[in-house]
Amino acid sequence: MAALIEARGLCKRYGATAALDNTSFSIEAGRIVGLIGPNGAGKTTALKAILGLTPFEGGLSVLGRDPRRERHELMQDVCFIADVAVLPRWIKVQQVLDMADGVHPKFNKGKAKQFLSRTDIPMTAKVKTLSKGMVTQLHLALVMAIDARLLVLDEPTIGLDIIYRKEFYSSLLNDYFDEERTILVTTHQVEEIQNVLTDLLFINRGRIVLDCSMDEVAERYTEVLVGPEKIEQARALGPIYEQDTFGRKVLLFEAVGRAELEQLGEARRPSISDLFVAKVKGGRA
Amino acid sequence: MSGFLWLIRRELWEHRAFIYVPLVVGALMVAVSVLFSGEIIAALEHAHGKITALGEEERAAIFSALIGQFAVAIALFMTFVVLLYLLDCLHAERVDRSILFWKSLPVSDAKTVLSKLAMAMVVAPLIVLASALFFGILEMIVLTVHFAAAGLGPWEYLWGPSRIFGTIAFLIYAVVVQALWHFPLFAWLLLVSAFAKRAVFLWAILPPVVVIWLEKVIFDTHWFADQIGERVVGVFPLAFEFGSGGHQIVITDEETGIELTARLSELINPGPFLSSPALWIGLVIGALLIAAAIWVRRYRDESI
Repeated sequence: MAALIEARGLCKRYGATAALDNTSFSIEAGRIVGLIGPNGAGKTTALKAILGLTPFEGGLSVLGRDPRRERHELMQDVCFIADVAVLPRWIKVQQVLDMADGVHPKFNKGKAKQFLSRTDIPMTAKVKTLSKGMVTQLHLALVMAIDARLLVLDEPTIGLDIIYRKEFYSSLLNDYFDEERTILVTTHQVEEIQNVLTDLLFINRGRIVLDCSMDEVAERYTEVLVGPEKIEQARALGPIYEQDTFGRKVLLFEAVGRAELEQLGEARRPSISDLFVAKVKGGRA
Repeated sequence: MSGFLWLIRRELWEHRAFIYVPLVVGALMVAVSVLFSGEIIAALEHAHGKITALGEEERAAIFSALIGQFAVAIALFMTFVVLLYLLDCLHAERVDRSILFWKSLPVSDAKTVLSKLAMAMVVAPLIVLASALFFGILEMIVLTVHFAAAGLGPWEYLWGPSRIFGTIAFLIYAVVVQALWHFPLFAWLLLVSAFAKRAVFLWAILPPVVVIWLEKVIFDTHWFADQIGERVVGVFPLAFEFGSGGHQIVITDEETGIELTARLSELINPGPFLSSPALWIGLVIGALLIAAAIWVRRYRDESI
């Protein structure tokens, strides 16, 4: 099957800075992809390009369509939550359901109501009277009631407390995600999604610096805790990143044999955030 | 098409003023008649002789004037509602970033912008029409009591001679020609609303003022200012036949100087209006401005 999203040589400049610098990647169906990068790395620009919200150069196909020309057709199969603030403040819960039902051919109002009935959100309330967490629940209820093929989430849990954040991802995984659907998510809070993701895309300065599945991460990258006596031996193997923890060094290796590394100290799979720091700092050096 | 009606509903949900401004204006006008019942009855009794001396046509003029007065008052207030709405509708959604939600729905930018234009061109005129008729009839009921109390037969002087269908035809014609004539102004406001980052009022007013000023300085003429003035009020002499035809009845009351027109429908004069190049040029300019507004909403780079 062809890729769900196919990006070839995307370019987008804001004045002197390149938000997307000849960026290429592809996303297969049925994956949960984390698009991770520091502020200003081009994450949001990449999402906007995919959603048809910004003009850009290069080739991009989303579900076989060009988002520049076919945004509204695309939106039948694509949902997005930009962040919690974008639901119109004046609208009532009932009205937003009616509206979605009226204009969205793939919206199932009963499903949305069922999801809302598990929350404390009253149907007659206006969005502006709801807490941030409730607005996110409402938006999630809308999105989960749409039979879409691609869900794009841009910092969906920003500003939410921990309970809402946990609930948000567990609802997505348990009630929404299946092999037919694809989720593309950006977030600063890498730790909270690392067990959810199937694939990683690291972006820095408009370029993809890492593109692999979580399984490949485990195969390809190894973190080793090295004592002072073996540190020179370890450095000779060319770690991509090195940091101090409690008097010992933590070295991150790419494509170095596991057996060899286990000789040096305790070897383990790196966390996404460590890998991220290594890749992005490496890119900056 | 049903999708388009949902977009209209959504506008009415957000902009309650389209409904309550006509309701408040109409209700206040009727309330004034009720509150001043004593004075009105006294005035009717005072003019008893004059009213009984009126011919059929002249009695009909009372009805036309009544409905007309409601239509004019409600339309005047509705104009402010519409102008503020047009300037706000594509701007506010960017300020509160709800545009990102609207753009997540499978609705084209063209449809969205046209739904907002339809609020000004179709929905507002329909509401003016309906509320003018509703409150006009309500006022007639109040006056029925007044006439009866003053010893004037309400059927004979009020209801009987009323030309309700002619009046409705006139009102429909009036709102249609006005909407067509004002189309380029509406389109300009929508474009400003889609385009301006802030200060929509200044953006709406300054460019025309600058053009007028430049024309004055460079050519010492005022062609553009004349065009704008024509565009605001010029539809009345163009689309209506005032005074010259002789077939409409005009009552002139010497004491008050009021002129009433009995057969409003005979003021309808579409020939000069439809054959006026200004109408068609205005429609073309309006269409270009709307296309520009759609383009701006489509391609403007919004920050997520």
